[in-house]
Amino acid sequence: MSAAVDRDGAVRTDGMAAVDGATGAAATSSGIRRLRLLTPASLVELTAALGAMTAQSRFLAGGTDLVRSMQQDHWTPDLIVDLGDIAELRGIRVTADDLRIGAATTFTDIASDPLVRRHASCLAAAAAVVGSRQTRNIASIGGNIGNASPCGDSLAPLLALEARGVVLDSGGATCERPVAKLLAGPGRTTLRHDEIITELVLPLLGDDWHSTYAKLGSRTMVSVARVGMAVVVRLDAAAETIVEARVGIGALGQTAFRAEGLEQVLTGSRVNRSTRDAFVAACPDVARQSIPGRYSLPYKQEAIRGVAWDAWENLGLDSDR
Amino acid sequence: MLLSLTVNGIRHEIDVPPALRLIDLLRDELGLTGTKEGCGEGECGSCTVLLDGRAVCSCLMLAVQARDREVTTIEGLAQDGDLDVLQRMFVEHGAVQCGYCTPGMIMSAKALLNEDPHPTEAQIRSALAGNLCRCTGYTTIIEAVSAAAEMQEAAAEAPTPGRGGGGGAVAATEVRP
Repeated sequence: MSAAVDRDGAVRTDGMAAVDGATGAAATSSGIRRLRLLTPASLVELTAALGAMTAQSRFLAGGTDLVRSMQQDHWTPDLIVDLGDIAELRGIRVTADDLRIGAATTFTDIASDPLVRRHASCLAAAAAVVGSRQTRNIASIGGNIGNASPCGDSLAPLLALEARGVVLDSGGATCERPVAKLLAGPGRTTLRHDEIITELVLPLLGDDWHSTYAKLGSRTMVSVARVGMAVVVRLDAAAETIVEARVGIGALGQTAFRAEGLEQVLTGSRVNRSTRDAFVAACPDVARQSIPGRYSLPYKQEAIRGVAWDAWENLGLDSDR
Repeated sequence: MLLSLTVNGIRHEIDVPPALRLIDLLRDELGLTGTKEGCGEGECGSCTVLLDGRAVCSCLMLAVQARDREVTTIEGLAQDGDLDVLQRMFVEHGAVQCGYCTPGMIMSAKALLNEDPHPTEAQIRSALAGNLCRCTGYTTIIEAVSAAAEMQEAAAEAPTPGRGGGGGAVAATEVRP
């Protein structure tokens, strides 16, 4: 069929480029690379597939980043492991201690899930503003971590929720690692090429916890975050004082991070307008520390103040104070 | 690899290279050129099709991801020569100008109405946020989707729902930018 492929499945990357007439991409002559595709149907089969992976191999969950990268960069992995047949990688459930989300669960399913909305509302809110409806319908939360984009919307909430990733390796061993330890930099994780995140584990928070996600993009919808902020707070019994606070920030530096300075401003503070103002006022320092000298710093140190204001308002703690 | 999938109700078994995108399978192998490629990166939505009823960008998917699943393209909407109510309303409301975005726009709207037959304007705008139109200014498109929702509702309430014979053959027209 396609002229881009020889008889035994080798893919000519220049042929791929030639297919793309609509974007006007010029054909490149990067030669032939053989692409293998594996479609494991269970975690056991996935373990075997992990053993075949190299640094040039990729997982395919939704494909929204991988397929674009293959098309635009005229690049083909040596092996794609398509996760679409592995039912164990999808779904959301609650155990005694945790909310557990399969790594291939889509953002549409996360955004609308009652368990996520109840136990991790900042993550549900972030999932609802990832890309377009079309992207959310197929893109996965595991892929968001695996791609480690600095502006991945789910990352700041996962950090603020102190989520852990269940990591499976080619030997069949699993371990849990904090998401914070999985992110290494823009497009980089600490995962070896024979490791995969199978599940995300979010410790259950009680009803005294509240969380939200606020985002600023260049437009109101279908937007890449310029700044994203997840705020997770625990109130005292009277709901008057913040006893614990966690703030995750995305799209402000090499990777999403926890803003300890902002957490200190909130922790122990009364729920009132002056706390909000102190929280907002502390934000430009976070930007200065994260991206010193960056051309976008003047914009971002102003933008983060607005995002912090929105996050506080979204929490809805002090409407009558 | 040998791929089995259903496109517009027709079962296909077809040998595809693993790197083939879904849009290229639809357009180049199956001849379903109603699905358009615009940006090729998930921004414009002109390549939108339904995968098991959900709107997805066919330019951001490999064809093999559709294995054993049901794909619906713009060509799958008209039944027995009668345009779908969304297609008719797009024509009647002038929501089609150059037409390049129209198949994707209609497929996104179709997914919305399947999920929620009575969407608010805000829900329509949200569902179509991933579909760009450079001609219409969107107003007529929103009106067309609202009208289609109302017509569906009226048809559902009528004792003998009948379909009007539609106007132009949107589904079968190859439009170039």
